[in-house]
Amino acid sequence: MSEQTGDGGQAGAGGGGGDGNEAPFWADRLVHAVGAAHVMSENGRALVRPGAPAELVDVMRIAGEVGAAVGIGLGAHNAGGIDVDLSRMCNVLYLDETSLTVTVQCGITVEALEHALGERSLTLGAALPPWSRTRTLGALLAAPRASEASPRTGRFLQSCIGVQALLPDGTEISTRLAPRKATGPDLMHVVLGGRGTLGILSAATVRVQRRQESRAAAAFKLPTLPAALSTARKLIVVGGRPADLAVSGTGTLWLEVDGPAALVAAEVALAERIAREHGGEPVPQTPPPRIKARPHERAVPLETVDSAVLASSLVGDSVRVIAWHPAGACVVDSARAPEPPPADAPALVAALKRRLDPNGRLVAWPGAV
Amino acid sequence: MMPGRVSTTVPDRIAYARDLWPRGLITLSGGNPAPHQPDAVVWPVSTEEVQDIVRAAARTATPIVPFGAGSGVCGGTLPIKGGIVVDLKRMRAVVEVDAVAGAATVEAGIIGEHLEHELNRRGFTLGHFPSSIMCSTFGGWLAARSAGQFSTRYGKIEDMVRRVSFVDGRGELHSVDASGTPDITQWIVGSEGTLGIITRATVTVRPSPERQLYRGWSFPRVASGCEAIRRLLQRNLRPACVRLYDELDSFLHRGEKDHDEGVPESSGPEAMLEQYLSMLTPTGKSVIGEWKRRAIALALNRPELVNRVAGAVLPYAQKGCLLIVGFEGDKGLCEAEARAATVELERAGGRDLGEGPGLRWLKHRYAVSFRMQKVFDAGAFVDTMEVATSWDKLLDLYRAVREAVSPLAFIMAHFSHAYVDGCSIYFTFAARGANTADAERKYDAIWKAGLTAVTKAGATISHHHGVGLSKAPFMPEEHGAAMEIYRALKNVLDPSGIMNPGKMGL
Ligand SMILES: Cc1cc2nc3c(=O)[nH]c(=O)nc-3n(C[C@H](O)[C@H](O)[C@H](O)COP(=O)(O)OP(=O)(O)OC[C@H]3O[C@@H](n4cnc5c(N)ncnc54)[C@H](O)[C@@H]3O)c2cc1C
Repeated sequence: MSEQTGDGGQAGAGGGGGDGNEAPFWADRLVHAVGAAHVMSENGRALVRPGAPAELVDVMRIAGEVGAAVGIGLGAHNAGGIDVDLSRMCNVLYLDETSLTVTVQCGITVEALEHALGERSLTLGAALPPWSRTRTLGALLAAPRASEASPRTGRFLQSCIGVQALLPDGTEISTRLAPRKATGPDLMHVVLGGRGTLGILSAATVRVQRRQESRAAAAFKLPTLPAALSTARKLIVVGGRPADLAVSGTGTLWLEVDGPAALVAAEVALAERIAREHGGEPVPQTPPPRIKARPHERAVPLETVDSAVLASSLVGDSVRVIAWHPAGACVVDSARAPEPPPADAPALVAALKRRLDPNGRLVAWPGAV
Repeated sequence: MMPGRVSTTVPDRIAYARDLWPRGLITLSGGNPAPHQPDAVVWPVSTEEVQDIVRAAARTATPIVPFGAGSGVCGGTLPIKGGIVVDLKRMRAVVEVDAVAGAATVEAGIIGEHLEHELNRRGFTLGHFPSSIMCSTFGGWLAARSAGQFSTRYGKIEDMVRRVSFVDGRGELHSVDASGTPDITQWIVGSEGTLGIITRATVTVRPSPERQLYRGWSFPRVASGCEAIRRLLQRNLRPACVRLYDELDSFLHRGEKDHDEGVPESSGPEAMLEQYLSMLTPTGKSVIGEWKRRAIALALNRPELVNRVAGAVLPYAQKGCLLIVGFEGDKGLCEAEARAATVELERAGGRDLGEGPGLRWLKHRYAVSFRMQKVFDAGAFVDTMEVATSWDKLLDLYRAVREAVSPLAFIMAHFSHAYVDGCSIYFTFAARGANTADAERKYDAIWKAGLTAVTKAGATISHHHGVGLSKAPFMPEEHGAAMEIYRALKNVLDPSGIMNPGKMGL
C-alpha cells in the first residue's frame, strides 16, 4: 500500500537497527511472525507485509521489544525501522446489504473495493476523485485529503462508522458500530486523520450506496467565476444534495444527481433556478475533462470560498473547485504539483501522541497531505 | 472576582445539586433533596472568566461541574465530589450568523429555544429540536451529543459542528476546526464536561423551510414500518422526521374517539409522562378512558403480565403502528421528496392516514413535560432508554431489550432518528416500588438488564442522552480497550482531574 508520491514527511526515527548493509538483528523475528516471503530487510530497516491482524499485532509487539519505529508505507523514507505494508490485508470482511455498510481490511485500494462492491450493484457513497482510486482505504481514513468529499456524504471520513486499530502500545481496539452514539468523545477520530501516528488502522466499516433508480447530470455556464462559486455555495446552503458538484476556473458548474426520478428532477430544477438567479444558462452537459495526475489541492471553508479561489490568481481550466460539502470545498489546480504534508501536528495532537506513544513508536506517513 | 456572580448560599447549592435523572427524582421523593451539593455556584460572562475559574480550581484541585440548564437525564451535572458548578447561561450571545455560508457562531449558554428564535428572525433554522428545547442549552447539546426531532434531515448536533472553542482543565483556551485532521471537534463534543468547558461553537444553519409536509401512515407491524423507513433513507430521501410507534406506544398515542385513529395525543414519550401522571394523580385530567387508566395502574404493579398480554393481543386488536413522516426545506425539493416517499411507503405496505396526524404531531412537538415529578410522588417512576444500531440488528435489539425489561417494568418504544445505515430506538418504561429503597433497587435492576441486553445485541447504550453518572458502569463494555484513548485525552486536557470527576466511567 505504499504511498510514495509525496515528498516530505518525517523519516522513520531510528530504531535499534544494525549498521551497513546488514539486516537488522530483529529481522529474524519478523520472518518468524509473518513468513520469509513477506519480509525484506537491509541497512537496519525492514519492510513487512503482515497478512492478518494477528501478524500485525506480532509485528507491533516485536517493534516494541526491540525499540524499532513503525510506519505505514514509509518506503524510501524509512531510515531505520519497520515499514508496514498492509497490501495483503485487503479482504472484505463483511458486507451488510441491509444496512448498506461494508467492513474491510484497510490495505484494500479504493479501486479494488469499488470493484468488489460493483458486483453487488453497490458503490462507495462518496464521489471520490480519480487520483484517489489507487489509495488504500487506510490512507483515505488516516490521511484524508480535502478533495475526498461530496455534497451528499460530506467528507469521506464521515462515511466511516467504525474502526479496528492498533494503538502504539499494541493494544487492539474495535469501536462499537452504530449509526450515531452519545457515549463520550468519538474515539475513532483519534485514529482517523491521525496519519498513522496515533494508531494503525487494520479494518474499517464504511457506508456504501445502492445504485439509484435514476441519475442525471447537468451543466450551467455562469457569467463569471464568482457567480459560479456563489451558485454552488447557495445550492449547498439551501440543502441541495447532488452526488457530485464541481465548478471550473472558467465559470462552468457541473452536477450529478441520483435517487427517485421525482427527486432527481427537483434537484436539477433547483440548481437551474439558482444558476439563473446568478445570470447563468444551462449548457449541454459534457463531463469535465478528467484530471488524471494528483493535482495541487487546498481546502477552503464555505465562508471564504470565493475570496480564497480568487486570491489564488487562477484562470483557465487547470483550476477546479470540487468536493463541495456543507462546510467547505476544495480548490484543485492540475498545473501545480501536490503540496507536501504539514510538518507539524497540531499541539493537542502532539500532546496526545506523547501520552499514547511515549517512545515515539509510530512514525508519520509520508505523502499524506 | 466576579462580584454578585458567585454564590455559596444553601438555596443555590441545593438548586444546583440536581439534573433530571429520574433516579434523583426517586431519591427526592424519598425526602432527600440534595445528596450531593456543590460548594459554590458561579455564573461567568466571558471566556476569560471561565479560564480564571478553571485556573483557580486547578491550583487547588477543586472539582468543576459545567452546567447548562440541568435538563440532562443521566446525572451528568451532579456534583458528586463537591466543588464548583459553572453555570454557562450568562454566556448566551449569538456572535455571528453568516447568511452566505450558512453558519452561526454561538456562545454555549444560550437556551435552545432562544437560539432558534434568533436564527428564525434572520431567516434561518438550526433544525435542532430536542423535546427539551425550552430547558436545555446549546453547550449542553454539544456536551452530550444531543439529537433533535428533525435529526434525520439536519443531523445530530455533532453533525452540524464546524468549530468548537473550549477551555480545558488547565484553563487553556482551544479553538478547533472540524476540517482538521484529526477532527478534534469530535473529541470535545460528547465529552460531557470531562475534558473542558465548551464556550462557543460554529454550526451549520439552514434557511427556514419554505414548506413543511407532514403525514401519518399506518403499518401492520413494527417490522414492516421499520422496513419502510429503511427504504426511504436508502433511496436518498431525507425526511426531516420519521417516528414509528410500536403497537403499545401507538395504542397509548391514539385518541379516545375512534374516528381519531392514529392521531397522536402528544409529541412522544416525554409527553407520555404527563399522561402517566395525569392518570396517577387524583387531580390530573385524564385524557384516556377509565379502562385504559386501570390497565396502566396494573402495568406498574404487574409489568410482566401486561407486557405479555399487550404483546400478544395488541397487534390484533390494534390498527397497527403509527408512522409520522415529515419533509421540509426548499419547496420544490420538499414536494418531490414527499411524492417519492408516498410511492415508497405504499409499496412497503403502508396505509396513508393523511395530513391530520402529521400536523397534529408537529403542533404538539413542544409539549414537554416539566411536571414529571408528580409521577414519582405516587411511588412510581418513568424513564427512557435510547439506543441505536444498524438496520440488520434493529429488530433483534428491539426484542432483546423488551424481553430483558418486560419482567421488571411496563415498556413501550418508538423508532426515530433514522439513518441510511441504521436507526435509534427510544424505549419508555415505567414501574413502581413499594418504597424509595425498593424503587431505587428496581430502577437500577431495569437499567442493568436493559443495557446488558443492548451491549450483547451489539448496539450502543446511548444514541443521544449521554452517559453521565447513570451509564458510567457500562462504559468499559461499550468502548472496550478504546477507553485507553479516552483516558489519554483526559490526561492531556485535564491532568489534575478536576473536570466533572466521577463521570463517564473514566
Ligand atoms: C423532558 C426532557 C426531554 C428531553 N428531550 C431530549 C431530546 O429530544 N433530545 C436530546 O438529545 N435530549 C433530550 N433530553 C436530554 C437533555 O435535554 C439533553 O441531554 C441536553 O443536551 C442537556 O442540555 P443542558 O443544557 O440541560 O445540559 P446539562 O444537563 O446542564 O448538562 C449535561 C452535561 O453536559 C455538561 N455540560 C453542559 N454544558 C456544558 C458546556 N458548556 N461545556 C462542557 N460541558 C457542559 C454537563 O456537565 C453535563 O455533564 C431531554 C430531557 C428532558 C428532561
